[in-house]
Amino acid sequence: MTPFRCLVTVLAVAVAALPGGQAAGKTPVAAKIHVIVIDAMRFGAPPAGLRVGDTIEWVNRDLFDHTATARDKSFNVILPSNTKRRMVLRRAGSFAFYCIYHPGMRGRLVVRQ
Amino acid sequence: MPRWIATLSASALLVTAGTALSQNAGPNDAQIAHIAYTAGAIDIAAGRQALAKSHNAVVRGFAEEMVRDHAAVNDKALALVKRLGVAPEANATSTALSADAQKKHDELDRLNGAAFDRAYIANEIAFHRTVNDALRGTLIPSTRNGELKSLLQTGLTLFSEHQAHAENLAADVK
Repeated sequence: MTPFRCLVTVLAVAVAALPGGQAAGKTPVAAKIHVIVIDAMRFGAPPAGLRVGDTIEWVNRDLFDHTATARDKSFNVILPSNTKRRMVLRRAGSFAFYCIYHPGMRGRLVVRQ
Repeated sequence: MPRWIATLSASALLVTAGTALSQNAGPNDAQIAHIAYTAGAIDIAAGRQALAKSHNAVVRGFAEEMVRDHAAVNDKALALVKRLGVAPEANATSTALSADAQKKHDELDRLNGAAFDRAYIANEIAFHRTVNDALRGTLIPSTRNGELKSLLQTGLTLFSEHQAHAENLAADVK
């Protein structure tokens, strides 16, 4: 994958740092924000390690309007060109999503409890 | 007829001899930009025609998508050629595209209701298929400038989505 194509799905930014940088056995895991970039008619790779309570930030850097729409209709995020929108992951599961306008654009979020 | 024009020419796109272009070379970037822009402008006009005539919500949604997406590509293409100092150059292929589009526009204008919807979607399938074949086979491989090539590649991905979308809609407007 070239840097140009990079729909680099990046980061998992810890909203709150964990003590010592480690999650202890019983310490609640801090919610994270995961960014999924859309560019050149593609969704960035889905982030790993998604948990209920985390936030997905959809960033549409493409020339075109897109949507991030769950096949099971559990979410439908409208993303005009050059906008970003956030949504909180409310339940665990595997969620296939696509763009309503360009159904060949697809991805899947796997969310654990 | 140069091979690249032949590649573009479905029967509707046939151009006559006497082109000002070299008989041996492929199109240059200025010509490619003009062809791509013309194709986009044609589909925007077709979308506007559909929005003026169709009462089918699905067809209207598709037409709105065409207008929006093709306008975005064409705006980007215009900004790019301006920055590169390239003046899009009219050529036999873009002229043939425009002439054929005018004929198709007039033909569609005589139709109404479901007959219009069917003909519009059928033409969208055919038009995107022709343009995509040309982009894939001739225009993108011939493009020298990296940024223009990249924009055309994004265009090809987009237009392939449009073609697939129109093919899916065809079943709904029977």
